[in-house]
Amino acid sequence: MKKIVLKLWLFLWIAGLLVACGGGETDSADTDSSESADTSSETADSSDAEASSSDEPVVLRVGWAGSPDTLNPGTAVLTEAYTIFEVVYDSMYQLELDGTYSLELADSLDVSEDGLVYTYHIRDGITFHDGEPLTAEDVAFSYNLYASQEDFPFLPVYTEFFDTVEADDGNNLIITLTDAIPNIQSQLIYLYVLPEHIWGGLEGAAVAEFENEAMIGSGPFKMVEYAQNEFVRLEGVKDHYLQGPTIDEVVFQTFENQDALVQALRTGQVDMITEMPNTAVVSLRNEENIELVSGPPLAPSVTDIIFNQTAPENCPPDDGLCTGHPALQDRNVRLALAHATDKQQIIDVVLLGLGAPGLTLIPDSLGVFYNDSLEDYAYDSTLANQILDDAGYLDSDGDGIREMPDGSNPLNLRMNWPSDSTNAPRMAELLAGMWGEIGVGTQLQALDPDALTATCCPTFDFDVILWGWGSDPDPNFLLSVMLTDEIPTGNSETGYSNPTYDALYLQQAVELDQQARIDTIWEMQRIVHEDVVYIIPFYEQSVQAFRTDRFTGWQTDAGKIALEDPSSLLVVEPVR
Amino acid sequence: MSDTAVSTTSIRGFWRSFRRSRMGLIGLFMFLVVVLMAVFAPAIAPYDPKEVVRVTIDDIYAAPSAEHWLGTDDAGRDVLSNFIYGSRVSLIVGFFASFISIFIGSFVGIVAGFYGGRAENILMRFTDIMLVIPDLPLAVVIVALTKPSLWNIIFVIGALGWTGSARLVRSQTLAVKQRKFVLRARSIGAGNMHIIRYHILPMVLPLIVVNTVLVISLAILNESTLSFLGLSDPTALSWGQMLNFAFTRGAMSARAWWALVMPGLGIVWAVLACTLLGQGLEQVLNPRLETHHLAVGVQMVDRGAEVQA
Repeated sequence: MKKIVLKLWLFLWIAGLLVACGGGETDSADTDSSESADTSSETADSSDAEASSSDEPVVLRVGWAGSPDTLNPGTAVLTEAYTIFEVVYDSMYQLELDGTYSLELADSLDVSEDGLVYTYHIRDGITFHDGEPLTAEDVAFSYNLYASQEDFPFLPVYTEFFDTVEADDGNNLIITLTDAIPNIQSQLIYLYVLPEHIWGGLEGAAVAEFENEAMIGSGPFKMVEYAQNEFVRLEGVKDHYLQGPTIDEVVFQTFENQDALVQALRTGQVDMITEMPNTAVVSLRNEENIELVSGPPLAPSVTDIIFNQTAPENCPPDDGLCTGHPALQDRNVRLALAHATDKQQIIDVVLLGLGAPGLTLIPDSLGVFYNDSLEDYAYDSTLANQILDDAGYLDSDGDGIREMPDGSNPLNLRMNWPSDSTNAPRMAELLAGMWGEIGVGTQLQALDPDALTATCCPTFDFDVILWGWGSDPDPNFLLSVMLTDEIPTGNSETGYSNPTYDALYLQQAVELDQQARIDTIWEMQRIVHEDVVYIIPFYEQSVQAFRTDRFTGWQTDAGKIALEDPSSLLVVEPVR
Repeated sequence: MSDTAVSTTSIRGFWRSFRRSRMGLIGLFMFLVVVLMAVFAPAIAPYDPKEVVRVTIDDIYAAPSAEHWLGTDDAGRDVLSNFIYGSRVSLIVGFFASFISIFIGSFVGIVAGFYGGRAENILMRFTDIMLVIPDLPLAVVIVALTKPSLWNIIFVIGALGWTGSARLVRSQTLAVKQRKFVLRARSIGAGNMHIIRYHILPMVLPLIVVNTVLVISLAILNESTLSFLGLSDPTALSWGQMLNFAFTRGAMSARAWWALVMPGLGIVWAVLACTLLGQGLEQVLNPRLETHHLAVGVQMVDRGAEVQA
């Protein structure tokens, strides 16, 4: 009894909270958010004072709903960590918003004729934030560190083709590759250069465990203060060798959820927010002094509707269950499902219109690699029905669900998605309705991401999964998930196998001529699209907003939308 | 059978007694409203939530209007219809889960209380263990590991919520077991099963009935919590799930209060109804609340027997 009453009160309290301020899901979350709100309101107060006197430092406040997981570039996973690395560290190249690369640490580059030896001429006079000089030695040290550290989860991939990395006496960095590769730029952008005089003293496991709170780098901002899940305070390096920021300080302030973030922007607690729910767009659009921007995100990602089409002979012998519905191995069925999928409807409901219809597995944010010449399968349920009728999938028992041509095995597809996705449940509902119109039944179920991985691949114990991939600026990885060789590794979630495609993949991986490589990659996308391996429902857009009465100069029309990128942070200046 | 006993045992007498509990009446009224809403959902609801609708961006989180009295949700669906249909899942889970709970709880309680000895020791220590394990985290883990269908949710909630009833029923069984008529029955040769069936059960039944109603509210609350955490069957529309969608899909930023307030009110309404009704019933049915240990024993004996009949 007591328990009941207690729970009731707890519930009332939570309900009240929800209505009042949109607090977090748990008690601890609430405390966090109120704490962070407190800190930020303090800083907001001080900014009002600043405005009156021009001697005070100019502080830009950025609000986001995340926080770096660690400041160690080797072990960081979250995007927020990389955002900080991008401004505090330098790497060999800078990825511009239009998708091109420019040299950062080096002022010029020589490539040997066979494409195996890259000689970077490191700029003179670069210093770390602690005053020590940055030389080719530091760069070589960093690259070798990334290559040798087995505890680093992602970075060793980028040094895969490095044979040796050395510095010579003339401040040059010489990279010798094992194979000539076409995409050295994208291999180097996430390899941030670390000071050897700090990291050189660490041995073995200590490297991955190093917290790196002081975070000495050479980038346009230097670390001043960091409290995980609260804020990151960075100070501008005015005499940076390339371009110093106009502003004196930037503070990245963590909020508990996106709703709180929107509220913080409304009240002027922050000057810019890096993310927001699409549902806030309508109400923010009418707000005074707030401008919304949306466009392709800086970090490309792709959402896909995955069909389990593993042929029995490709089923991984050790882990594979391969229980996928046999109909999905038939291109006609996948084609019919593609024709029965109204992408615009999904975009309207799930993304509130803030997305572009998806086409191929290489998203539009990959620029030149995106094959926009393909013609998508138009939404046409009559045609979809026709395709299934012609292929012999008929509803022989009249229950509204078609069966296999031999009358067995009704087309009832299990549809799963990761339970942490906010878009997938609504998308699943819509798909269930659309596919139901052509006599294909669905059983919807969200699964914990780990459980989903276990049913997905390489087990292939599913029919349809709604999931996605994050991508490098280079398409190499996304293309690799369709390879026959990736079926047993778990990277292939479709079990798709096509020798022609496999051969083209190897070809593009060593093609040094950019245009020839692009042609190959376009052809690969055409093949995958022709075979309807995935349905790509949409390319999501990044939606950000800033206050127009605080800072100007945001880069909003440079191809991609990333106001937290150095391209904006270096040039914004306060509104006078 | 004495006259005083009749006053609270016949249906009419029960009602007369129940009527005196104002809170109980309010609870009953609130409870009937929810039940009627759930039963006649297709007739009351202006829209069918399962229907495939074509929506545009303007339909999403649309404010209350003549067309949608309580606005629309993040998928452009009518909140009022969702709210009405949502009561069904909450009640189904509430009823079935509490029946499971009560069944397990009563069984454990009666067996432990009646047989005593080692059986009691084992059962009650097990109950204690279950009692200290926090329900919600355990439920979250079980639901995450199993497939989140409606019946799984019911089973998990039911299987975790029986401990309180087990303790209550056991203590009542212990008290009843000591009564003279049990001894008399035994002395004329009645077996254990007979005594449990005809003497113990009728005496603990009122308690079980009261407890069932109270456990329903717990089950509804648990179901809402699991749904809110996104762990329920996605096709089963419930109030908790409505909250989940509103919360994760930016109702707050869209200032769509209607998407949050309605399901919240629904949960509070149903839980409050069960709690008040349960307390009202308890005042009538639970012998300990009405009489005390100095009162005449016969009254209690009669009442229990009658209610069972």
